[in-house]
Amino acid sequence: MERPPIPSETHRVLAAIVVTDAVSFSARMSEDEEGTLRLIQRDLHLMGELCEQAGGQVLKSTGDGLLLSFTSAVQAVSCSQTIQTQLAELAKGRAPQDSLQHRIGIHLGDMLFSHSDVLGNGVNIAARLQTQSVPGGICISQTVYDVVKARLDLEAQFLGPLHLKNIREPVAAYQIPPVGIAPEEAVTGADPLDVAVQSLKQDPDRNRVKKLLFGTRQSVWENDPTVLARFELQELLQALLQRYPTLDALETAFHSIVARLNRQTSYLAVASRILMAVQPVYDQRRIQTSPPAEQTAMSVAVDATAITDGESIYQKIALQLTASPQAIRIRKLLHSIVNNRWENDPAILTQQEMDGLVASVYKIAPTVKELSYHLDRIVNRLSRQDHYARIAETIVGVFQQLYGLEEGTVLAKVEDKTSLNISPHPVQVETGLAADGLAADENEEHTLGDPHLSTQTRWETMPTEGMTRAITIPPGIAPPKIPAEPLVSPRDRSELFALRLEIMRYTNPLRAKILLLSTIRSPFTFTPQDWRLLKAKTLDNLLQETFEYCPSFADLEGKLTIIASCLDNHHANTQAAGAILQAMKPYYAI
Amino acid sequence: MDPQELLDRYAAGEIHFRGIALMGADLSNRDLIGVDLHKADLENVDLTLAYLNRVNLQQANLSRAQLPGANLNQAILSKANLADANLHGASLQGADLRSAQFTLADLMDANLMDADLRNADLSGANLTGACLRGANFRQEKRQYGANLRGANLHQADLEGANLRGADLAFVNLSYANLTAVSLRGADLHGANLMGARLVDANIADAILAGANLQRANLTGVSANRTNFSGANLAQVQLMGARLIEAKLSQVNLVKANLTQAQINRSDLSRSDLTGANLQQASLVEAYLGRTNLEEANLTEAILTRAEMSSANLLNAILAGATMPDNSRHS
Repeated sequence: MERPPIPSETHRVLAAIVVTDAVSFSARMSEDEEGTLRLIQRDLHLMGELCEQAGGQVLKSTGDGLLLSFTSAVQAVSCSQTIQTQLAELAKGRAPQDSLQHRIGIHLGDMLFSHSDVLGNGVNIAARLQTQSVPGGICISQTVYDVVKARLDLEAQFLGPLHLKNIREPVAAYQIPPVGIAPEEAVTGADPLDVAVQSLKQDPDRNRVKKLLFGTRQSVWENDPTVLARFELQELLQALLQRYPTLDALETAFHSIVARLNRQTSYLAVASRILMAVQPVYDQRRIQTSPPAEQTAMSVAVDATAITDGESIYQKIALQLTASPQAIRIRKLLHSIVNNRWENDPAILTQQEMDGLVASVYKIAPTVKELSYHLDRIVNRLSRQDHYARIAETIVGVFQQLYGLEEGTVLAKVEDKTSLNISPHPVQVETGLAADGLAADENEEHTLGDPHLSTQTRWETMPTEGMTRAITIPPGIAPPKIPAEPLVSPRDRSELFALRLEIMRYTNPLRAKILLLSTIRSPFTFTPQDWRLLKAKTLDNLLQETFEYCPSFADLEGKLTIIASCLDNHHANTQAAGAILQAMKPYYAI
Repeated sequence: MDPQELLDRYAAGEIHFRGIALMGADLSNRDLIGVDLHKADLENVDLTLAYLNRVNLQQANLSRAQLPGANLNQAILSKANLADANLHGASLQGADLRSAQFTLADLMDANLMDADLRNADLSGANLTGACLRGANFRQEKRQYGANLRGANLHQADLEGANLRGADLAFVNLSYANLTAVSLRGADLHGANLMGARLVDANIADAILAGANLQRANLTGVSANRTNFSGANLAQVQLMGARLIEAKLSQVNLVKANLTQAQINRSDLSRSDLTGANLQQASLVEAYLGRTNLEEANLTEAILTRAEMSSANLLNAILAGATMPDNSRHS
């Protein structure tokens, strides 16, 4: 990795900045000066070596930590991971006093070289992020996360927007847990309730946080600050957490209070921040009571589905979902609805039978609206949103059978009037009748009034082929496959005339080239060398290289957006980046 | 006048600066939208990424000017001198460039969509990757056509452009997009059209003698009476092309795809069609003197009254073909 030499006067460089720090170094020094010194020297030496190997630069040492810089965010993160892994490796089998733990923070931003010193907001943010990391872990900013997520396999946990000391804007960050520790535990290493209370105390709207907690707890709205001051945030929160056994219950409670208020939007935002903050507390509760909880969930599911003979509607849906090429992702989404946390471990994911999972989801989301809501809620928190949005659609499509007649749903044969008398609960209904029974029941009047019309018109509006067939096939026959994705195949990249046209139509061609070159190489600096390089590549070349460099659209989006904000004339570049993204999107598989 | 004065007066609302001299001034990144610089002397001026939409630069001297990324959409540049100017990645959409001088100018990746280029002189200009969709080069009367002699149009996008009668001799059009262009009667002799896309283009009566069209895509092209003599058309796609009375003598058509092409009355003498695909092609009255059709596929081709007595048909497939005597080959 080539780096331009650092001139003596002040200049700026965009870099991935890594800051490391040894945990409770001073305390350790006071206990055993020589030993600790030996340890820190060994660790810093190791870090420096790994950094150099990864193409980074050691800019400075703080005595108990290092300031490293990389020209690539991917390198910065993977090098930091290597550092933590190797340090953990070294610490293995030793007494705690024979090793040190380090925190690492990474941010992507401008560094200011002033004479021999390194300054800048980017460095400060990296340093502050470091303090937010758990020992042995890595805390990265959203900016870094966006750039690396497509390239590296990270078990990162979203920490939310953090209010860092002396940093004006909140910085959204992710925690990469220490080696061998699940992300959940890493974040909840401290008492999750304390963490929640701390983060809520830092909330920009902490007065409203308190008012809402108070209001929910006491069922009385209180605006008087003196009254509010008598209650500690912690005790309010604790009381509420005791009263409401699940996050959903708490959410419902908040919403019923907010519904009575004037500034609903602000308070809904406050409520969602509180919910986000307390989620780990609920998660931890679940982990602690995990085995029995899962057991009950299972047995409930089994009871509910009442599998006696033949296959139940749940099994039918489960079969269809399992047959999908995206079965594992479908499982992840459903698991997330039921357990309110994201799980990547296939062993855990496959613990629960699919039909049980379907049944549990149906319990949580008894209407299609609720199902869509839950899926959206989860998908919006994921990195591959487009991808999962499509899978969510598939799930909704298949689940339609349970929900029966909603808009755009297929109504199966309704001649069988007896099915109208069957209970609306699909659980007790035999296969084949389940959908009919539900459908007819919910829309009784309409169906009875004009069965033929409704049957016919609805057949025409059927959403997916797989679904219709699923309803009409007799039991015993293997369910049809869900239509395979992607539904729209990406455009051919062998010739890019249409793409270039699209870009030129909506932005300046030179700016587009500068942005693309900056993305695949390094920020354009308007020096004669950079101009020469730009001249050596056509827009076509740059686009092809960008496709190679950014394997997914999310990757491209992250990189372009960041680069656009790094170059001069921010506004014009953001406009150009938008035009490029819009034009390139159809060339990626979504 | 110095540049600051221009900027100050422009900021104050003045727009008429006809005939001013600002040689070598730095106006990069400036906004001069709609300014009137008619006949101004702007030689070697720096207008990098400047906003010059709708400016009037009629007859202005912009030779050697730095205009990379400049926005000149709808600007009037008729009769302007842009010789040796740098217009890399500039936007000239819908600009009036009639009779403008672009000799040796750099227009790489420039946007010239819908520009009026009638009688413009682009000889020796670099138009690599430029977008010329809907641009008008049309020759209206004699001596009033665009001159693109020796220009570099590699990867340029000319889809739908009107290049009727244009002088494109020895032009580099390799991998260019010439879909649906009109090149009727254009001079393309010695041009490089390797890998170019000429789908549904009209090249009737054009001269392509000695041109390189290797692996070009000419599907559905209209090339009646076109002169291809001595051209290289190896592996070219000519499916459904109309090549009636085309001059195809001494042409390399090795492995060309001429499925369903209409090649009636064309001259294919001494051409090499080894391994070519001529299924269902129509070769009525074609002249195939010493034509090499070794291993060519002529399944169901129509060779009625074709002169092929001296053609080489070694290993050619003639199943179902209509032979010169109107008999059916079995």
